[in-house]
Amino acid sequence: MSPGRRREAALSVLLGLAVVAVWELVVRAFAVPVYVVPAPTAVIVALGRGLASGVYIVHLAYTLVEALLGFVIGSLLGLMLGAAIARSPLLERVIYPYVVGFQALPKIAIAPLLIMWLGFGIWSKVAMVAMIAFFPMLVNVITGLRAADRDSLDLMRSLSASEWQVFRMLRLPYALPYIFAALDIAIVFSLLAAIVAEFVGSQSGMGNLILQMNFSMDVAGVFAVLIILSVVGVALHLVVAKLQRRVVFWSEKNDMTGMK
Amino acid sequence: MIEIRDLSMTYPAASGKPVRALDGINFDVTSGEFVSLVGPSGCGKSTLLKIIAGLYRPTSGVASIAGRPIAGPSRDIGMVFQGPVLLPWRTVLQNVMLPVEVQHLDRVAFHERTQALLATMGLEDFHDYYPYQLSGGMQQRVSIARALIQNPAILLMDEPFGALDAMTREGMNLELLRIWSGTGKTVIFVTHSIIEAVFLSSRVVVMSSRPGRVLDVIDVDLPMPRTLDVMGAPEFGRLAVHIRSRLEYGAGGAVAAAAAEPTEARS
Repeated sequence: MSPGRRREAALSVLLGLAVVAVWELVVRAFAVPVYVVPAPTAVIVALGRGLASGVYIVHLAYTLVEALLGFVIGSLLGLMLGAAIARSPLLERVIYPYVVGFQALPKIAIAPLLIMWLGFGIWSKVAMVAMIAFFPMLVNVITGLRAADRDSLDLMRSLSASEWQVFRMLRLPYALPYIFAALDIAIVFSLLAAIVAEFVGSQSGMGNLILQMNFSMDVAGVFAVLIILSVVGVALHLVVAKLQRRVVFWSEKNDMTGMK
Repeated sequence: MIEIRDLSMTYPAASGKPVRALDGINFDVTSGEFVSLVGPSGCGKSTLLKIIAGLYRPTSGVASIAGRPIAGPSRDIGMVFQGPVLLPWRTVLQNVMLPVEVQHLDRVAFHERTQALLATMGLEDFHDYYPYQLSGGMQQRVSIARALIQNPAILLMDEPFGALDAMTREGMNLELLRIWSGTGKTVIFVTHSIIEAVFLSSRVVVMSSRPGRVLDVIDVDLPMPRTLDVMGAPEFGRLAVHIRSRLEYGAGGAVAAAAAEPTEARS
């Protein structure tokens, strides 16, 4: 790290500490009730208690299974439909208006229906997450598979490459940076979608835990769960980003989400 | 070797009115010749090259190689584009081997040839580099090696050095001449640099702006092998001035006059 970067990092940490300190002081000075806004120290105590009790493990595992299953299913569906649409302008004109209409729909509004159809268990959340993860992949795959430039296509054609070869050796690698950008967006949204779907109706999971704590006015506990979720979200993003740097090492388009 | 007869090409344009890119092109290229196509931007020289490469079909007229009309891409043709057009996820070696892979040829058999070609191009120490690790000149050398990998009889080059700086460009010109004289390939070379055209070619085809027509075909009787010194020769200057005057004549709207003075088709 260069001295300049190190100073920026130090500043960033200082800012965080300052905010926490001011928060603590304000809560103490004005004697804010713990069920309105807990002091950072109270949050840390709640976090420690939660970690020690093991309560997060079961709920987090439940939420992660929902988020990851939905993420994989939604991304795969987006990949397949995107590849089909990228190949066929006819399909694009016929299907795309519905896809756009579906995307314009606030999908969380479907959550009550999903619970009615698929029950309070894992599958209603998986469906929700899949719907959210689907669209970024769809759009990016279409763009990515059409991103190969004229000259590269002419090159492949001048070698009498088959359409499958053009796809495999040219279009797909060209689409990879776009695919990873979609994965990066989708993984963060997947966690969000799982939590929100749990709010609507669930038996377990981090969203369910937040609701339980809210009902018992354990606001410090809610904050502790938020910290866990934030850490998990960043970790998931980092996994995708790491994978992306390994797979599409040649691409400059390395971080399109703006999260570093 | 290559015959172009009354070739015309019209594009359907986005604006609705079709664009006539090439109009009644006639010229021949004999085996082992180095022919440059010179003309202003948009004169259809790249289009003409891509028709010879079998990538586009002409609207009318015929382009043929060795007496056979061109029906599509052929292994006898190597193509070098304006940019290097390397696949960024492939190493230098893998990029050069791309034609071999696409056509399911024996990789092992071609491995030695690839090594030799890369050595000729001064890239023997860069087999495992990725394109983004190379300079523009080196990238273009890789793309020339790729075009030569199948030992094609014809090399088509579409302003291959246009994006390079002047020094690199001169070096590449010399290398190209060396390869050409060493292999006896037929080269068609598109450029809009008159100097480059005269320096490299045995003949220069001068084209008018849209629609592209052949204004003149000029023999370059400068001794081979050429060095950069040839650019100082009086004959070199005379030819360059002559080509420039033909280009300006064409740009001055005197296309009809040029057409009335039919360019000779040699074979």
